[in-house]
Amino acid sequence: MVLSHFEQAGFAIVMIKFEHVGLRYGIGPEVLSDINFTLEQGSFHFLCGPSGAGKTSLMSLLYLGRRPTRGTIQAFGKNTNVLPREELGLLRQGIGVIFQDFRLLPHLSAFENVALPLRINGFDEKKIKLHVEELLDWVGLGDCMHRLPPTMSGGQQQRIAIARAVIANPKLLLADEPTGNLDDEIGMKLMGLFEQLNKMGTTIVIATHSLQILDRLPHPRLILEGGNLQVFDPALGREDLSGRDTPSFSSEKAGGVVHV
Amino acid sequence: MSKIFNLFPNQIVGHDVPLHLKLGTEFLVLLVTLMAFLSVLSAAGIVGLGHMTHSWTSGLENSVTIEVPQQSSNEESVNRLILSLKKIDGVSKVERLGQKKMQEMLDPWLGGITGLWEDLPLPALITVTLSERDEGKIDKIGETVRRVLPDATMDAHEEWLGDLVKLANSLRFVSLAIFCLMMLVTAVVVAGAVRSRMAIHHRELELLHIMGASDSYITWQFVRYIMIQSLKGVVFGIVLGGLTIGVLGVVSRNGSDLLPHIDFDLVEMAVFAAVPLILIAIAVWAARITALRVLREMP
Repeated sequence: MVLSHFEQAGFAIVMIKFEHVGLRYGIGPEVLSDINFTLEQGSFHFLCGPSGAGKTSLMSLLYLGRRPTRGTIQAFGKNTNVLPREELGLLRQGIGVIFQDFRLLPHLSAFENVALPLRINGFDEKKIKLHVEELLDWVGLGDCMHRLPPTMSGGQQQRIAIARAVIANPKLLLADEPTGNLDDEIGMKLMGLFEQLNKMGTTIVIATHSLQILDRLPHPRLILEGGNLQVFDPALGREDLSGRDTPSFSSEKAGGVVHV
Repeated sequence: MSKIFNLFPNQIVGHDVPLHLKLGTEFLVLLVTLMAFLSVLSAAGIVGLGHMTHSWTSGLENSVTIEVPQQSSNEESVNRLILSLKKIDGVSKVERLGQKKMQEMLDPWLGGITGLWEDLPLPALITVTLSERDEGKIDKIGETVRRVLPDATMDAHEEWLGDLVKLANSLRFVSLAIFCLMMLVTAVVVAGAVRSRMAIHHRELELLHIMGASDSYITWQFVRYIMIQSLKGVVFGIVLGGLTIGVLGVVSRNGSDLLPHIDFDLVEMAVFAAVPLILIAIAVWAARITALRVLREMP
């Protein structure tokens, strides 16, 4: 990975920054309250918490699928609260998302599904064919790239979803329960793939319930409970960050230091 | 019916959003067919009315009819009037309507009763034809008539022509209003159909949105879908409209003499075929505006 002068000087590039972010649906209570954190480039985080804690809501804020009801979100150095819709779209192009239910388009072939982000980014068809075929070969789906997702197994569909999320070389990769439908062995293999992508510079946030994965991988954990955010870094022990100002985490730093 | 309308294979549509699925908006083709058919007919109506008015007025607009009451219509005074009228500059022809011609004109009203002619107080009718319609010359004819035979009256067909033009203009306006109404209905129905499809495919739209697809990228898919549906409808509408005009043409040639002959030249036919293309433009515009509005509701 080539480091910029900024990075070489020891400054981490901020990918995402949440400041006093709150989210409510309609006139209901806040599902997320006063969330503060910063994700630096090349960091790797788990997002965990009980069902209904607001993980999916936080993920939707991370992939800029919603605007917060209060607070500010900065993505790739830009304040998304004041950014026009067209520019938000351009920022989203730098984010890859793997959904728990994959959200593949059932009427499009595996090839077409994976090609979608490149088409949206305006790549020409020759490049799209080259990249998509190469990536589908890499995830072991080279033989069935023209099959429709409903005719494929859950594991194959998951690999299509992963290929679609990484095809455009996103700066930030978000995965919502990516191992939810897989057995432990395949789940760990998938985590290995995410670690590889992380080493190549991609910032990664994975929402998961899997204790096995959390126990094996020593990355910092963003823990949501009752709409509030806490962090647990295996290297430092548990620390409550709710209500504090913009903590930042970087797994690239020794021991995953938590900055408060 | 759906097989007839399915001229364009789904592959051409090639959507990320599965608009090729039949989910209740296929009626659009039928609607546009109907609208295109009616727009061809209304365009033909507007042009046809122009032809009709022209054919009715062309024989009258350069002529003036003078009516001499029976008590003043002795041969000598009528001939004197005819001679005076012939001397007026611009008058190309002066003709007295003969007994036979008048009999032909009145026969339908009298029911063919013979022996009635001698008892009827029929006026003498003189038709004056001008080389071209000119109000100054018509005034001069009026002066001559008043001078030579003060009892005679002159009819320059102004009232008749005026009423006819008013009627034709009103009918043209009605045709135009119907055409505009059809455009409005098309726009409203297309907007409704697009909103409905966007609601059905909300998950796909949301996914494209999350991937960073621009509004124009998504909107283009709906515009393309509506364009193809409208094109199918317009093709069928033009064919149906053309056939109907053809049949009306045959009927008018073989029917009553009161009906004008409906004959359109090639340029006019091309215009009728082009008019429904406005429907495609309206439908595409409505689809684009609607899709953009719905997408703007997304963050």
